[in-house]
Amino acid sequence: MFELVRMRDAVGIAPEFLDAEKGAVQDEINKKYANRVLDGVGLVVGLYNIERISNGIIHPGDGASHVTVEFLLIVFKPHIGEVLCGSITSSDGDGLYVSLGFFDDVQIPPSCLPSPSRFDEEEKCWVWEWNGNDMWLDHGQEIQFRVFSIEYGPRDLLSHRKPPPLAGASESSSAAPSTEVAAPAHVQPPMMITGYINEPGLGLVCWWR
Amino acid sequence: MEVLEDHAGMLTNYEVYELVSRDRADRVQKKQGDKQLHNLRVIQSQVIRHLEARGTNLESREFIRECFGRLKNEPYLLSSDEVLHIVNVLPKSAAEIHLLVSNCSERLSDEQVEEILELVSLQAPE
Repeated sequence: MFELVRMRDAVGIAPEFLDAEKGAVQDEINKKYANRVLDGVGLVVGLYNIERISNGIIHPGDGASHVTVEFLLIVFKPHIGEVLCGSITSSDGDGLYVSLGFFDDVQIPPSCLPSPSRFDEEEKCWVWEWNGNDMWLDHGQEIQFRVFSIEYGPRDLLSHRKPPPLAGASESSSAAPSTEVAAPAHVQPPMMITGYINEPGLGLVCWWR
Repeated sequence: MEVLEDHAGMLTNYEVYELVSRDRADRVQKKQGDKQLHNLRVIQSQVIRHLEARGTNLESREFIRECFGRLKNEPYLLSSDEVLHIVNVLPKSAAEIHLLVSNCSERLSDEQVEEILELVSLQAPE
């Protein structure tokens, strides 16, 4: 689930922090990277350690010292086929949505649910029909799934975990949609995991334990 | 900004739990209230909460060492990746062991599967 990733980056240390350089560098790295998606890599949890700091360069007119740092980050970086556990947050015709708390963008499409399953329009819930029994995939339930694929959205190298709302998008769902700009209901997140649960041992944790 | 090495090392969930809890406790103790470290605080508390809900906080370094020591050797002969997966998932049923060990029915007997479940059950000592 978590891996170390080695990075190199330039960090500016303001003059007032120059006597506690290492601590200032650690903070600058955490400010920049923590809780952000590194494109194609994963979600950064935080700094693991600093391996190397170059000598500082001071540019004219700028009192800060600029250093090049090599460091290791702790990154949430699941593998294809890895088993993860989260809770069901919502469901619709396109599948189930699962959150791990620190990572919210997991989708389990209908083709990845145990077969046969149906979407109950009234309860807004998926139901697995097993041996004549209705196994409800209720919201809030803990669910174990396997990673099928991970997609990175068309974003910068380093993105906020939750993309900001598009200009013109309404915050409240009850407001009438603007006639000029049709904002999509789901902005594509920078990192999206597709999971599947159609294998024994997967699905609601309470089914197996 | 440059990614030098994508796979610089694997971490067990327990190691991440230990690292993140310790860092968070240090910051609380030093009363580091820098607003710009808000993102760090958010992800730290969310990761801790997730791992505690999974029972990761009940593990220990000795537990991790014992799992790797026993499961990689005879008679189980699991790969490092499989042991890592097991100590992260903490399976509680035979079906879950089958998820985590490839070709499980060929490599492990039912008794061995039970033994693994027993090893990772993290029963609190009497």
